[in-house]
Amino acid sequence: MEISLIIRTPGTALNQCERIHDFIQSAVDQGHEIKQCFFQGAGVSAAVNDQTLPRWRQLATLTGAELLLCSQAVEASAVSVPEPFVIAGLGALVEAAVNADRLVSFV
Amino acid sequence: MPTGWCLLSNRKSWLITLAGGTPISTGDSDGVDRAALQAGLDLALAAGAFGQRVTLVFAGGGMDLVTHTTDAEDPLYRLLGSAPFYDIDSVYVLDGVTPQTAFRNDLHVTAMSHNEWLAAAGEAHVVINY
Repeated sequence: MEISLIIRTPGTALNQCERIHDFIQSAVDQGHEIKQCFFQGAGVSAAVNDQTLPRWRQLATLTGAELLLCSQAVEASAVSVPEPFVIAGLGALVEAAVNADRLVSFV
Repeated sequence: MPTGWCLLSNRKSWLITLAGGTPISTGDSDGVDRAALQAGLDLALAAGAFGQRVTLVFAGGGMDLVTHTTDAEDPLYRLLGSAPFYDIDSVYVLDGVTPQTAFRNDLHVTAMSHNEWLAAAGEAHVVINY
């Protein structure tokens, strides 16, 4: 099954970030494919902070998933965009939702 | 082929519910997360622009966007007014509607029961809550 994620979890919720990482790891272990992680709102700054960035890099290598940061949120939070993250608009999220078998949202 | 045309050939039904999310640091004093409302509304309009069938439901803290009493100059209120241009012709409100509730008159607003919402969620391909 192809799965895409919407992630809006704030940086203060580190346990929740761990839960997302565990979800991805479990999905991959069970043979599913993570196609895209789209970070929106507070999820953007949470994704690129020092604590979570190494884990996201690891997961990107493991899954080959696109890690997309919502362009609007990047502008609002004025974060820099480290690799492998890229900036994307909502069209990319819509396309991923249409093409995925499941869209899972974390808030 | 442009992406938009690919999406049109793969039209899915979306149920997007705007309730103002869980109050976080960006929440207003009334506990409504307006950033979540904005993100959800933006996504609904984007999905509509890409030819998706969008059912847009308001609940909880999102209700203010469809009631007549809201500040008409509020940017989110105005943005929602553009929904028909994105082929979102009807919006729904989930429970909490009384005979005294006055909805905005530039949109077709319909009450939806919790059971109807559950049924819609069961039928939709994409279900997202903000």
